[in-house]
Amino acid sequence: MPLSAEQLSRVYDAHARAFVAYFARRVYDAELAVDLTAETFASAFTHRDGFRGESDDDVVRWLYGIARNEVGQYWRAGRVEQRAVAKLGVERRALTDGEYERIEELAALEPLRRRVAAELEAMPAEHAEILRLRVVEELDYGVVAARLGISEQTARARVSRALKALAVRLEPYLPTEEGSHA
Amino acid sequence: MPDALFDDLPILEELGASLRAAMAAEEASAAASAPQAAARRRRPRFGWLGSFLVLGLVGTAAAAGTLTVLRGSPIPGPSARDAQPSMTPKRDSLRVLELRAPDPAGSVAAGGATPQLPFALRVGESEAGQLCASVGQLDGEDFGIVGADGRFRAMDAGIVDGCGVSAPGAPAVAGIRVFDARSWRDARTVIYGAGATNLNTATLTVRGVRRPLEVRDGAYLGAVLGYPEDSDLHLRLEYADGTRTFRALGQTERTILDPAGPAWRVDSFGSTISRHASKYCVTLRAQRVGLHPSDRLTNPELCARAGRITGPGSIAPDYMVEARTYSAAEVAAITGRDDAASRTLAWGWVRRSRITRVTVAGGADAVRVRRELNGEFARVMLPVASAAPLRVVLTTRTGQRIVLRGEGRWRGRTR
Repeated sequence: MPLSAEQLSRVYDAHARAFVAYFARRVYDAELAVDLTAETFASAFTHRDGFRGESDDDVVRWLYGIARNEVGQYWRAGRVEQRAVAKLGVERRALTDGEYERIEELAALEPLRRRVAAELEAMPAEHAEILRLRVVEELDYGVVAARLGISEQTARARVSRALKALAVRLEPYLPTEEGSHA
Repeated sequence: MPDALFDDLPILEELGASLRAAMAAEEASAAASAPQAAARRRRPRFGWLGSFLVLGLVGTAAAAGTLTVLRGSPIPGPSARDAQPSMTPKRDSLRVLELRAPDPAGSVAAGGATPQLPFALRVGESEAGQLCASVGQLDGEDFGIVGADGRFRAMDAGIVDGCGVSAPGAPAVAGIRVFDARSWRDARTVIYGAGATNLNTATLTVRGVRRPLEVRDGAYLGAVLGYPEDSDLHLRLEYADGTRTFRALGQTERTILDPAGPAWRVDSFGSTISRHASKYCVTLRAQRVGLHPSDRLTNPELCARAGRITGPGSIAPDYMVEARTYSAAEVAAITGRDDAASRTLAWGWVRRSRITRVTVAGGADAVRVRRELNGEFARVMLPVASAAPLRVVLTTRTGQRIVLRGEGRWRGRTR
């Protein structure tokens, strides 16, 4: 049975909140999480001919597949693709402070941030410092290299090593997909 | 739908409503465009979506030419912190002038999603005493713009295109404003001016065809299809005291007109190869590229290696010319537009100190082309049949004529 707007709307009402939390825990930003949620549902609708299922649970599983792709695409491109949203002409306003805080709360981002801070503290000083400059202060590699008195190539390599080390440390605390949309 | 679903996150409630409206409009549009019998079989049961179906039908009505359009959120003005007094009109001074310019995309709008609303001019006095003007469209009495998504959005009073002070023989504020679209065919350019004391007539020339613009109270307004650089636009203003002004709009000296499409552009650049060697190139490209990623664009180049680019000891040629018919696919690779058509291009570079005139004959006519800035030139023509005489004639400072016939690439020196 083809996916209808009615069924997708029903799934949205039941799961939009979980999708926002899912995205927020992966991109660490409430605004982006809402954009990704919108793009996921809009993309599902524009590609509804490709849906092979019947129940609402089938739709949810399919949507999480789209969501995984959206997250991957975001990390590759550094921005949220909004093709489907643009095609449908879906608009949204900016989040209020209250909504921002609520999404962070839903995604338990604050505890995760505290965990990241703690793990950064525990990392070798060389790793912690370069992550602070590049990731927290968002400085260009050239500036990071100048601050640390190293070449830009070395700065890139160090950031890469430090991020991998941080990822290993955070692995036990990252959400599983089942946990995030239960 | 229960209202309390997203009590703590109204943004999700609003996003859901926007998605539902868009999905319903899309389904209604798809059903309407299918053959009736097939549409009856496929038409979804809307249930609680019924209210949004109305929105979809409104969109269909707009496409049919009525003035009922989909609406989007109003466009806010700049924050007070960012707005300069000279560019901030006083709200109580704002008025929409009676001038109207019909949307030239009428035929496009009738078959597409873009509603056809007339263009209008809103003027007001700024806090610094200047006259400010904004170009927009009128939906009833509301002043705003229709976006590429076909939705009308009212524009806040703080949005202005320009402000200025009246002076003899010139409008206080004048300009051209592009209303962009996904395809160059649907873009529109609005030409406007206000605060021109004693202005009698305004005449717009579009690809050589003169068109009088309506003038009222020192203001004028007109709209044409396409981007400003595509149509060889010229504006002539005549004042009561006999003063006349005449100016080209939206062009640079490097703009090359296409006979039936978007404008081209010819450029030159030099680069150093080594301490004693340089490379000098001329390239042809679209004035405004299409939607393809830039890495797919391939611009033709003519280059020459030189000891020095100019001056004594230079071994650079005095001319580099190419003349040939590019296929539609080749033009698409240059312009980034999928709907590109085949063109005959005659283009290149001449040393200005040696060659005084360039004439390109293609098919029925011969045209003296401008040599710009560093000597670049180009003529873009509809495909010239191979049997037709395609010639590039270079006239040197001493009167010698160098005739380059047919298709090819040439590079040479004059005596």
